Amino acid sequence: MNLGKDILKIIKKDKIKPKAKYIFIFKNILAWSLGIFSLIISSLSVSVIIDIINNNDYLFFKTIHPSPLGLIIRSLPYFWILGMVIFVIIFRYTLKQTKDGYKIEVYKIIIISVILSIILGIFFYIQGIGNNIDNSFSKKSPFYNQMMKPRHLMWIQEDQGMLAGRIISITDQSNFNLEDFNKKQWQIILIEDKEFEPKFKKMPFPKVNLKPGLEIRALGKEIDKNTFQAFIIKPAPGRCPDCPSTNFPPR
Amino acid sequence: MEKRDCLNKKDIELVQLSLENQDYFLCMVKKYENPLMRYIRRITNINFEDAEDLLQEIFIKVYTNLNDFDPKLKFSSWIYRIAHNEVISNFRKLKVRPEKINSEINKDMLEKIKSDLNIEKEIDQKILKEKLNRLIDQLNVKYKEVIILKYLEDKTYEEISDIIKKPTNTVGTLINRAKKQLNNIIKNQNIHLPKL
Repeated sequence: MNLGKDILKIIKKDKIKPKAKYIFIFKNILAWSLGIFSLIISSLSVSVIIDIINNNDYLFFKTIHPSPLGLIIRSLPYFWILGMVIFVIIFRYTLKQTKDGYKIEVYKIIIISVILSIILGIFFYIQGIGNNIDNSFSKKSPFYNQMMKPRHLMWIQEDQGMLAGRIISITDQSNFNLEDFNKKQWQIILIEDKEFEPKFKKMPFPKVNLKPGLEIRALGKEIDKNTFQAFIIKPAPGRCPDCPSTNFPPR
Repeated sequence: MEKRDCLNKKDIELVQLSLENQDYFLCMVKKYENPLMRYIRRITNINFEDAEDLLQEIFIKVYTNLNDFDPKLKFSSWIYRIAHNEVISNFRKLKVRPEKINSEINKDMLEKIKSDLNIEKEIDQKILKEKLNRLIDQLNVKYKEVIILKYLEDKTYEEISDIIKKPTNTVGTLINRAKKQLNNIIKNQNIHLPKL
């Protein structure tokens, strides 16, 4: 066979040229950039997960609920957990496309990316980015709110002393009407309770400026079918644009 | 071009020369056509003409990607990688026309396989060669390839890792699994190849 000469003939006839070096450099840079981008998105997901878990008041439920595990499992931010997993997988895939990425074992890539996501995620959370993302998703996406419904529904347990919803009208700062997340209307009477408050000494609440349209969570007791006596009021997760912090306990 | 000299040149020099003058690529083809032809036929079992067509495609790909060659890598690993990728991407097409087994096993390879796979020394070389060819051909493609690269192409774990783009530990695992699969085939078919 005279393979060499045939190949050279084809190269010359079809004017085949070696691809420029910058194409391969660009491809490698692109793979790394996509990898870093995926890692950042995954870290942002982690920061929202931390923020939501913090806002979901698990410590609080532990204090007032006999068995909060079911509530906790139902209200975990699966949307963001899934987001984190997907972007860790994308990171793994893009890293494999880099020049030397194939040399690292899959499990090592996954462990490294999860650790980096958590570290960066904590940093983003401290900067308040997780809270901002949750807020803007809540405001702009009805789909997101639907996905996150369980964490609101966790609070509609009036028999357990928990209620959450949107303020419809206000008589004064201790008397207002509320529509809960199941569309039921309530009259809320806010009063101080000397027996109740010491239980939550270590969990101070931010002062909420009550106004129509604001979504809140109320803690107290059900008086009758339509009246709820609230001891503590705090904003609903990610729903208080005027509040300095929606976290509970605060950072 | 000094054709007589170019065959003695190092691979990295040939890459540079080919980038400057395409005629030098002929030297690269001459240097690698036989090993690559043997490798392709070992893993695919296609006939000579089809293998030649595939080899032509491989060398064209090598030429167009010359600037992608990373000098940290052995050139032979890089060119085998391109061959590996081309075989994989053409695998469905190639599988349609399988021929009889092409694994040419020489005496040295046989000794290596015998010692590594713990096969009795007294076994007849000719029988062992035939049987091994048949056994290797029955392996899953991913196992068949690593066994061929390790024992027939005499590549190290690192080289295999660079060729198939998998971590070195994974290569080791694949080779171990390939040995186990060989064992199972031997047991299932009641072939007498002791102590494998």
